[in-house]
Amino acid sequence: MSNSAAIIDTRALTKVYGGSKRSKRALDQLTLSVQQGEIFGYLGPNGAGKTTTIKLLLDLIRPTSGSSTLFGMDARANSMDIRKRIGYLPGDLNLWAGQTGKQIIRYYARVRGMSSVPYADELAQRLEFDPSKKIRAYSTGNRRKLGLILALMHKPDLLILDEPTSGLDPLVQQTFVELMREAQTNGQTVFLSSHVLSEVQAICDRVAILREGQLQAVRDVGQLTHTDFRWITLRFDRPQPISLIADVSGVSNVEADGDTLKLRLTNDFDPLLRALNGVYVKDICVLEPTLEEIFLTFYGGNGQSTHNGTTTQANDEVKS
Amino acid sequence: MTGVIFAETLRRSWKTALWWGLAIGSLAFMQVAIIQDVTLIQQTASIMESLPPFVLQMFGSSGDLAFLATPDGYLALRFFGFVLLVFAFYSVIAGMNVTANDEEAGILDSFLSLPAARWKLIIEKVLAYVLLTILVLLMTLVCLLAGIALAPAIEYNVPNIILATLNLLPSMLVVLTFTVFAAALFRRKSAVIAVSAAFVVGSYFLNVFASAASGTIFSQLDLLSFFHYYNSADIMMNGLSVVNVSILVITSVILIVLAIWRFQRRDVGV
Repeated sequence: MSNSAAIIDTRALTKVYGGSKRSKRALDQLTLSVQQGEIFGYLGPNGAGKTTTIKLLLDLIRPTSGSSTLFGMDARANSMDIRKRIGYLPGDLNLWAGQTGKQIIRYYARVRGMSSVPYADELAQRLEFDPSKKIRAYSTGNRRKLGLILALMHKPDLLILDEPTSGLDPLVQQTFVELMREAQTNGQTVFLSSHVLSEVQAICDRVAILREGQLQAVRDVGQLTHTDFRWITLRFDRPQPISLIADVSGVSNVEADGDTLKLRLTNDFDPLLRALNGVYVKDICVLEPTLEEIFLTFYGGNGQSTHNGTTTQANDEVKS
Repeated sequence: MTGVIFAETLRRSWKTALWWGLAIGSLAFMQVAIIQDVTLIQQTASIMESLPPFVLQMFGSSGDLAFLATPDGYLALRFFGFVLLVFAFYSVIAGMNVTANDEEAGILDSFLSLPAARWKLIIEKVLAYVLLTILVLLMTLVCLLAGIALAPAIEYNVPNIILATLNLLPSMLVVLTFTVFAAALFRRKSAVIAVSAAFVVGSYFLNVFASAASGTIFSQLDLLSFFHYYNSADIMMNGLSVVNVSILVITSVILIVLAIWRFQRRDVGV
């Protein structure tokens, strides 16, 4: 997809690490566009190439081939101008252990040419972060909070967040979602990588799925949710036969274990609930599939979607 | 923003530099404060007389025994002769702080996402460490002069002592910039330490062995050692060598240009 208004635009971006004998293709021919004001999820298991993509966009590493533009500027040639407009949270935030949070916030602000950072104070309050402690005294969660403050404090046009909620407690995660919504309202664009499907579903407008360095698909979040499945555990007042639900639309992999039935449900709940009419259900437990399970369901081994009986090229949107 | 990295580096590192200055200064202070008359200096020189020339060279001596019997010769031998080795380790540590430590700790990933150019990071940090090195040397000089003040019976050539102290700076710059260059070449901190330490120790022994092999083809090898251009004994006798200082400063500039050239082009934090 080519779009002159795209905030991020990559063209056949490829990164190979190492020499010719021990080379590893971390990213392969990535072509991707992120539009202004979008919250874009970049989804993939560990080692899929998410962080490599981000480092290429930030010009921390150089592409083996291909190119990328941010705000219409070349990521390499105009790196300084681009970085002025970016807020970045690394997946593994490391900072100087002997410095306090406040000292680092001030230092980063000064490097950005800011004399004061009132928004950083507001963010610290909202995230319940105490900036007076030294970095070595912070828990993982508090370091993530500091990372978010450093990324957000100058209200950048583009936020690049690598696994942003990793290590955050649920309450702070909720605050994070609010902050992302506010950023979007302010016209900021968010590019966030994650391997947690629920996180992406809660925040993002569109999602790209990456596997082994290759883009598998770009989808609206609703589309992705619609194509996924859940693991359901039903507990009854007495044992029930598998035949009770075995033929229900969307139900598969049914197993009986005492007074419980476990199953895999694709699509809507309604057919299942109707089938349970007249049976006393004591408890329903719904488990989200893991990302790997989504991959296995969404794409067959040959990289083609076989979901819902249709067959589509996995990266159709990318190639069109 | 210009000067921010420079100022931050100074803020974080001035205390460490002060401690280094005090520690080496204390050593200098003791060397001069415990010698209260010239007799002891002459006895030291007569002991040295029995040593082979290359051993004297190991202590930084020119081999001029008449000079060794003077207070300035004593100081050239017992302090300036070996102290560059100690200072060189400070320079390696300072050089590591420019990029190597932050890169291995994963801090550069975050920092270089800010609008801070890579070349600027190196230049500002190196300049800050040059200033801190001057602070270390000044602390050392103050301690040295304090020790001299406590031994009024011995006459030292104070202007030459000041020059000899300042003469440490160009050699320290070479070590500092070599370490920065090594950090631009190698991403691993352990590799940077190993290469930089090998450079310092190798230069020292190259200078010593070349002196031991005087009259042979190997005697010219010390031209490759920064210790050759340091030559503490010569400064205490004849003052600063502009040629030697220029060679060391130009070498430092070349090393820093190479470091920037390499660091600008390579992947960071992989």
